[in-house]
Amino acid sequence: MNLLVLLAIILLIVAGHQLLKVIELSRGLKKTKEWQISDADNNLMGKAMLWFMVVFFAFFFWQVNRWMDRSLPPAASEHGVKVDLLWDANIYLITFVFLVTNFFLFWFAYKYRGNSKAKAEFIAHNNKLELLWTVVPAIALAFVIIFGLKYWNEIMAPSNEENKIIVELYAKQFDWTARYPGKDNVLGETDYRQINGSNPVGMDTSDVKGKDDILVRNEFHIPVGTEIELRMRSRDVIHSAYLPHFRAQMNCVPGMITYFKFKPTKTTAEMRKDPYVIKMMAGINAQRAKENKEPVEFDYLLLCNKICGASHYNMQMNVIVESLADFKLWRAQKAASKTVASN
Amino acid sequence: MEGSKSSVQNSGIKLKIYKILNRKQMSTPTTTTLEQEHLAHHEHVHDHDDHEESFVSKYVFSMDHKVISRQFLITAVVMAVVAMVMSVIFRLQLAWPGEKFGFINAMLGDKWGKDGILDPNMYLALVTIHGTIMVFFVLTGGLSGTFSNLLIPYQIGARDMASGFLNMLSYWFFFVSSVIMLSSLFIEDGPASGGWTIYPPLSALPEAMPGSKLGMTLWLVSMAIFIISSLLGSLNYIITVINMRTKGMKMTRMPLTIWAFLITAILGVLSFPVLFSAALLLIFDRSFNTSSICLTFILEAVRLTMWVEVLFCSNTCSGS
Repeated sequence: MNLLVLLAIILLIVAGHQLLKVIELSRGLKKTKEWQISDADNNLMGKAMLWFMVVFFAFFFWQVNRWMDRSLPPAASEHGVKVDLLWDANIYLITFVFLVTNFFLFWFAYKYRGNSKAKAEFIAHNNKLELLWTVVPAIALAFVIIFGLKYWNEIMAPSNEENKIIVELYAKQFDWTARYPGKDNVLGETDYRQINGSNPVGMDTSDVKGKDDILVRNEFHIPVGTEIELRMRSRDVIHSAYLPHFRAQMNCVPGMITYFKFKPTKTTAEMRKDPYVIKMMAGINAQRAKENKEPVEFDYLLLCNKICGASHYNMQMNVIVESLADFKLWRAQKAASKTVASN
Repeated sequence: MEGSKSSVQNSGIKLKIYKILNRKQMSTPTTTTLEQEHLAHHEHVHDHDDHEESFVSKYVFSMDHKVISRQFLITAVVMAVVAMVMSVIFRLQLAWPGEKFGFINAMLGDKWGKDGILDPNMYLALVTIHGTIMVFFVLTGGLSGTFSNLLIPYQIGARDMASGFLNMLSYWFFFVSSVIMLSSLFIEDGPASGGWTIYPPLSALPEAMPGSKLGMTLWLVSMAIFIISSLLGSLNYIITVINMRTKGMKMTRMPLTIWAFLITAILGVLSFPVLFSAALLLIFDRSFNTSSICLTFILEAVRLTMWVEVLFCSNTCSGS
């Protein structure tokens, strides 16, 4: 098979070479030089440019339509709505510029196609034109940057909410551990020198504040409508905590603590009833059925978004968003099972 | 053609002199070129005598901006083809995960493409080297090296670049760095695989992943040499544009392309030394036991914990 493909490629190259030779030879017979192009050829090429534009734009719109339902579901956090707004504004702006510039590109290639009777016009300088193509993009870019900065400052402002829920995400090759403060609502101190098999996140054993901390793996719960403050640490290399459905991402850098705050607006159950999500999951499950795999339900995900080693692709954790009452129940259960285990 | 007979007789003697003076001229001139030579004979002979070049100095270690730009072009095209084949391999894997491709096995062998399925480590390595080649060797070296070298002297009316020698060095440093980068594809642990941004500590710790062993050292050495090449080139472009414009070619009259090359070169000179020092610090950390990027005591702790991982946790891949 490989040999056949290789043979086909070699034959293609030889055929191309022969074709070029035929053109060379026929040119010798016709006594024309390669730079002498007839007006008929120019017209053909000019029209071909226009046809190319039509096909190209049709392909573009088909692509947009075809893959539209593969993008992320609507934002499930308060600030995520702003991120989506910014994203949409940028995409519409870029699409508009893309369509306009490409239309002119092909239209001018057609309009100013080679013509043996036309004379070239020499333009040394045009202030108006230069001002136009400098000022318009400058205003557009200023708009993009100012709004981006405004939202960035709002999203990254330190949290001053009273009843925020603190969750520490601890990253290592290749999994996540979430740590909740216990009754005192304060996370215990950590010390990397105390990391060992029974103390995987390096809790400082001399710190009493950490005695009631709750560690969970595989999935962690957060309440809806409450501000969540994530504190991120890493044991080994740089990881990145990425929560795509909440439009949240922050690097986890060894040796420092990074922060991100957000407020979830939809529970997992609500999200599973969202029409977009239902359609998206139907598509995913149809593909899974083809591969003889079990169907899956929608779940919020925490992913690693920075290359961290061989199993980087599989470094993830489920996130369950539920009502505050359900969350407190779950946390109490976890705290109880911890005391049982330690007794 | 009609007057050629007499002109041949006329210049018969001179042709002999020409041949004696110009021994390296291999082909006998045709009648038409003979006529031209007949007109500007003396100049021509002198000109050739001074500038006659061997194959090596004309095409290999050339100081001519046109030849150097072609050298950059050809090297960058070769690198681009390598990078494209890599992207084909890892995108096959991305589009049809778990599918078996004879092509992948044929390209990577049983170690990294067993049964035609791409190894996760090799996937990262291909992404990394593809990105590195595309960003540095094609877009930075290839485009700037080719078009700045070719167009700057032409469009500002200079005879050549400010320093032909530096220009030649710039290309050959680029060539050496390309060879080192390609050689890292053929070593046992595989090439660098921490992503083309090479973030430490993933890139600083040989234990972190197979791609942080010898492959990373070669990547860093290659990149340090690449940066030297890029700096030599950029300095040359800046000096040429500022100093060697022809009469009447004011800065305000320069074509937009030359402005673009000038700004690119200035940005390169501003940013690449920073990258160079970072690469150098990483080389020293990895090969000579310094601790400038990762503090040693943290390194020791990380080594310890990774060792603990291997002993106690079965779900990790770092040890296998």
